[in-house]
This record gives sequence, C-alpha cells and structure tokens, in this order.
Amino acid sequence: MALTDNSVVDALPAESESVPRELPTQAEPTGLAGVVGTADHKVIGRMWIAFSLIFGLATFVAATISAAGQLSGATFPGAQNEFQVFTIARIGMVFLFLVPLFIGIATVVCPLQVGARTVAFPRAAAAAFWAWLVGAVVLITAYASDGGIGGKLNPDGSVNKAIDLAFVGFGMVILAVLLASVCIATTIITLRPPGMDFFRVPLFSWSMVIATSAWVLTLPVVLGNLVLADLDYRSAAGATLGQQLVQWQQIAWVFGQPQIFAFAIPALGIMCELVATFSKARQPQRGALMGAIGAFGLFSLGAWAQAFFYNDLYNQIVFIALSIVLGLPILVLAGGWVTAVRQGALRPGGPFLLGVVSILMLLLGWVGAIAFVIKPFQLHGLSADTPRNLASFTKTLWTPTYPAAQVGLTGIVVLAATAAAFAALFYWSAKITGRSASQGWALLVTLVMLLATVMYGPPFIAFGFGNKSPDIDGSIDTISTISTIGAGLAAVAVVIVVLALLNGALSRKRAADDPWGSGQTLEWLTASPPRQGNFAHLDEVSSAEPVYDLRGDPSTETDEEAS
Amino acid sequence: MALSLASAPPAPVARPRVLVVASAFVSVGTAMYFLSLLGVYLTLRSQTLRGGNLWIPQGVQVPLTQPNMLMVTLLMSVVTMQWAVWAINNDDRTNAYFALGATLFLGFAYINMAAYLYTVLGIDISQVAAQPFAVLVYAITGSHVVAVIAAMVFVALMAVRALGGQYTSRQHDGISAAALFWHTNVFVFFLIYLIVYITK
Repeated sequence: MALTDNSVVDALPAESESVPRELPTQAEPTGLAGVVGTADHKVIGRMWIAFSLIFGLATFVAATISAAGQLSGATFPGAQNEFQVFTIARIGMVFLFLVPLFIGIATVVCPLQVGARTVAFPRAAAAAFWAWLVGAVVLITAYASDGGIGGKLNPDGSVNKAIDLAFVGFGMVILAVLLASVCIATTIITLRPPGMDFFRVPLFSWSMVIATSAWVLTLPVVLGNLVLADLDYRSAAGATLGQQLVQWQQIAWVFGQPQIFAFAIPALGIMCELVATFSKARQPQRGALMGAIGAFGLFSLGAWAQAFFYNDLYNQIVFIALSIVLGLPILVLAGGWVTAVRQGALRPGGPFLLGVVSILMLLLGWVGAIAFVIKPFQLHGLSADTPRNLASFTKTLWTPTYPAAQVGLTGIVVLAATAAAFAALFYWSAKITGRSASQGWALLVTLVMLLATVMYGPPFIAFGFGNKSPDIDGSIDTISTISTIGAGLAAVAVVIVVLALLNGALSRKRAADDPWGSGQTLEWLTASPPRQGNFAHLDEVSSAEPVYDLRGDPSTETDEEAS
Repeated sequence: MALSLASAPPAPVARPRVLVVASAFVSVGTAMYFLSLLGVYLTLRSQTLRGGNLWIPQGVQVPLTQPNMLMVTLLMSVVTMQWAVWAINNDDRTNAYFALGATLFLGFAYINMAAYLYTVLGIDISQVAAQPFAVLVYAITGSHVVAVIAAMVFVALMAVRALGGQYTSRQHDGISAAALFWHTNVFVFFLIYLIVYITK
C-alpha cells in the first residue's frame, strides 16, 4: 500500500443508509508488528501522545536547567553549553512536545468526531509519526554531541559540532509535522458523513483544520530558513546566513509573537468541547465561534514577522496592530462559552477547570504580546539603561530577534496550550486508553499548571522590563529562581499526567461509551476504546450535536438520572 | 423483439476528493517554502543595493537563454499535464498515457537544462564575495529541481495507477491531484524566472 493510498472503504465516511458497504475483514497484526506496521489511527495517535509526553518531560527538565543556569554562581550547564540548553528547550517545547501532542490527540479524536473509519492516508500518517520520531532522536543526538543550531564560538576558538545533524533532525521533524497536518486536515475536510456540512463539524476538529492550515502556511518557511542557514554554513564562507551567531536568530520568529499563538489554536477548540459537555447545553452562535477560531488562526500567522530580516519590525504598524487584535477572538469565544454555560447546567469537572486555566493563561499571553509593542516599556532589547548583569544575559541567551520578553511569551503560551492539551487527554481518555482517567488527578494538574505558567513565563518578561528599570540588577537571582521553579513544575505536571493516564489505563473498569453522560459529538457514540473501523453504522447527521439529538437535553436530567 | 427497460442505474456515489484536497495542502506548503526563499532574496538584494554594493558578484553572468528554455519547457508541460486530466475525464486512456509520458519527458528535459545552467552560471558558493547571492540562487533553484523531481514521482505513480485501470472519468482524483502539484511547481518557477533570472 502506497502512502497516497486511501482505499474506497477508508475514503468514504462511516456507513450510512445512503452509502452501504462491507466492513474490512482482514485481521490486524498484533504485538510489535501491530505497533510498527499499524495504520490504525488510534494506535498512531497513542504513539504520538506517548512519545511527545516523554520528550515533554525532557524538554521541561532542559528548561529548568536553562533557567537555573541564570542564577549567579551557577556552574551548570556552564558558559559553553548554556545556549545549547536554551535553544533545545525552546525547540523541544514546541516541536517535540506541544505540536506532536496536539497531533496525537487529533489523530485519535478527529476521525471519530467526523464519523470517519480512519484517518486519511493512514500509511502517510504512520510515516509522519516515524519520521518525527527519527528526526527528534537525530536532533537530540546532535545536541548531545555538543552540537545544535546556533551558539557562539567557544572560548578555545572551537565551534559547536554536529550542526548539520541538528539541521537535518529539525528539518525532518518539521516535514513530519507537515505530513501529519495534511492527513488530519484532509480527514476532517473529506471524510465527514452525509449531513455533516462544515457548519456541523465539531469545534475541536474545526480548530484542527485552522491549526493545521496555519502550520502548513508557516512551517515551510522555517524549513526555508534552515536550508539557507545550513547551505551558507556548509559553503565555508558563511558570511550572512550561516554564521553560528545568527542561525538561531533566523528561526527565532517561530517562538515569538504572533507565530507562537498558532501552536495554541487547538486549545480554543478543546475549550469549546469542554464547555458544551460540562454545561450540557448546545453551543449557541456556533458560526461566531468558528469565525473567531478562524480569525485567531489568521492573526497568528507569523512567517512574515522575521525580525532578523526586518530590523524595525517591532515598530511596524502591522505588527503592533496584529498584536493588539490577536486576543480579540478569544474574547468572542469567551462570550459564547459564557452564553452556553448560562443556558445549561454547568457541573465543572477537572478537564473543564484545566481548560479554564488554559484560556486565562492564553489571555495573559495576549497581555504580554500587547505590552511588548508598547514602546515606552522598552521590551524590545538592549537599551542604554540596561543593567550590566542583565546585559550579559542579553548578549548570550537573548538576542535582538528573540529578546527576554519574547522568551517569556513563549513560556506562557506554550504552557497555556499545554494545559489545554492535558485537559483533552483527561477529557478523551476513554477514547484514547479505553479507561477514564481520574478527575482528582486532573484537579492536581490544574493547580500545578496554573503555578507553572505564572511562575515560568512572566519572570522573563520582568527581565525585559529591566531595560527600563536598572534596579532589577539586584533581583536577578530572585526572578531566576521563580522561573526555575515554574519550569520544574511544568515537568512535574507532565509526570502527573503520565501517572494519571497509566493509572486509568491499568484499572479494570472499562469506560462507558460516553463516560460524561453529556457528550454531544460522534466520538461518544462509539465504544471506549473504539472498535476497528470506529462505527458499525451511522445515520445521516442532521445537526452539529448528533449525540445530543439522540439523547435529548441532558441538562434536564435529575441528579439521580445523571448518576 | 420485446424491449424491456431496466430501472435506471443508481447515481454514482459522491466520492470525497481526498487526494486532491491533500495535494492542495502540499501545494500550498510548497508554494510557501519558495515564497519565503524568494522573500529573503528580494529583501537581501534590496539591502545590498541600498548599501551601494553589488548584488551579483563581479565576473558572474546570469544568462537568459537557459532560463527561457526552462520556462518554455515547463509551460509546455502545463499543457501536457492538463491534456492528461482532460483525457482521463473523457475515458480516453490512450491520450492520457501519452500526455502523462510527455509530461514526464518534459520534466526530464527541465532537470537536464537546469543542470546545464549551473555549469554556465559558475558561481563559487564558497567565495565570501559571492554571498549571499550564491547561497540564495543555489537554495532556490536547487530546491525547485527537487520539487520537480517529487512532482515527477507523483505523476509517474499516478500514471502507473492509470495503467492499472484505477482512474476513469468517474474517478480521476490521482491525475487531478498530480496536475495540481505540477502546476504549482510551474507557477513557482514562473516567480523564480521573474525574480532571479529576469530582474536578477
């Protein structure tokens, strides 16, 4: 079967009265062959989730080490390696953890939500996962071999090793993410059952269409940056784009505003699902919410905002205007969620609270983005008033294209989106593992993620204010300690989530088809975990909440009925 | 002889155009990749010229004959590719095979001419004086050769499937998807032709 294969049975949406056909009968391989050779979207999605959590733990440990390295008297990671730890932590947060985690969740959930038997191009989806894994290992190997992207000349005049290997690894990771994005977007666009027009697509799936489209529009640009930097570096001349000092600066735009918000788009869709399920009400004004998610995706496209090539970018009116309007769609969505909650009977659970934390932190990120473009704050980089100690950091870790305030923004937005991804793992645990993860664990993760986000990102923004306030020199250790604890808490949160999922998966009690009792979309109509082919039979979809239609209004249930 | 009217055949199932949609995403991603490189080219060229420096290093000549041939070759391939789509839409398999073969032949011709152009250009990428013009020219044109090779593989795969009888007037997704990706690559070369070879 070729990568482009999408057999007739797979290509069609799940069986409906108008499209009858036989279920595939070939036996699925089991054991190692079943994992390595699988084309089942649930297995592929679980592998994305599992490995992204492993890399996530390593990433946040690296972020902790990087933050701790700012403490005065810190000897680890040391002047020679601090930039490498810093960059791998940023790359890891986004490309080895957050984006793959969203892809994993979407690979499991989106085909179920749109009533498809499988993901489009299942072999390509599997190839994307394996390419990402190999690319991630190559990237980490490059860094572990005293290499990596960017850096500075070592005191002895030597340079980083394995730079090409790091470029290859990062390039593979991006290509794999793009391939997986195409599979997910194509699934949602083409494999919907009869009656499910675009307006009826579940909002998480809709957010994934927007997110994957945004990634397809912007990540090839990073690939272009990498090719130029590596080709220049390889040419031995390396006069403009390939110098070690500027390699990181060319790709830093991916981790700054507005692009960093593009990696948080799925968080909005997740919150929409949580609000509908936990408030037990149909989401009113769906069109406005879909439009708001689309607008957020549009505003977060950041490939044009490359400060390396446009020195005056941060003072450009387009950049300033987009930074200001960036969060307005979140406010529109919040209005819709409040309306749904008021119309329903909210009974907040752990995933819901995690989702609320995620949205609040995303709004905090938006405030940070606005603060960045307010000129008197001088958050853009070094100024004549920058204190001496802070300036030494700025020369090593924070660059003009990725100043301290942007480092903080990366932390806030990534952790906000991480909270949403964790909420999704708890919410859809029945479909992902076949067992429901405990609500108590979710509440614990909510608390830890709230602390982690508040403590990790904002201290870097505080460093940014140091350009204006020389007094910050005396507080560098205090601020660094706070950000170190924040990064450490993020690592702890990953461990808790893994334990919660394992604890749930190992329990004997199999989850009900709809453990929440108020699910509204098609994934709650199938077994937990879903059977092969996902659905035996699907009638024509006649609304955006087909399961709500079948069950009736759950908000009118008495407590006894609900239990 | 009595004639009996059979009941009308069932309407064809509305097939989702899975491969075409995926190809559209891949085409957009490919276009964005090249637009980013061309954006960098234009930006650095503008900065270099504003600084009063030479953009094209001294002694380097960017000829027009070979790029003209490349453009004409790819424009011809647009016709042959669309011919294949038209033929498969009309269940004209012979014409479809011929058109797909002609497209692949023109693809080979493009690669051949692009390789020759490199020998004519003769830019030494390792010379500091040639930076960043040389890096950008090699990155943009080299990537495009790779993209055309990928498109040729796609066309060849779809041609094999067409030979196997998978595509008809009712189901021609593969050929349409390959055509979409091919046309995107030709459009990208048109931009390269204008920016790198005409306005230099």
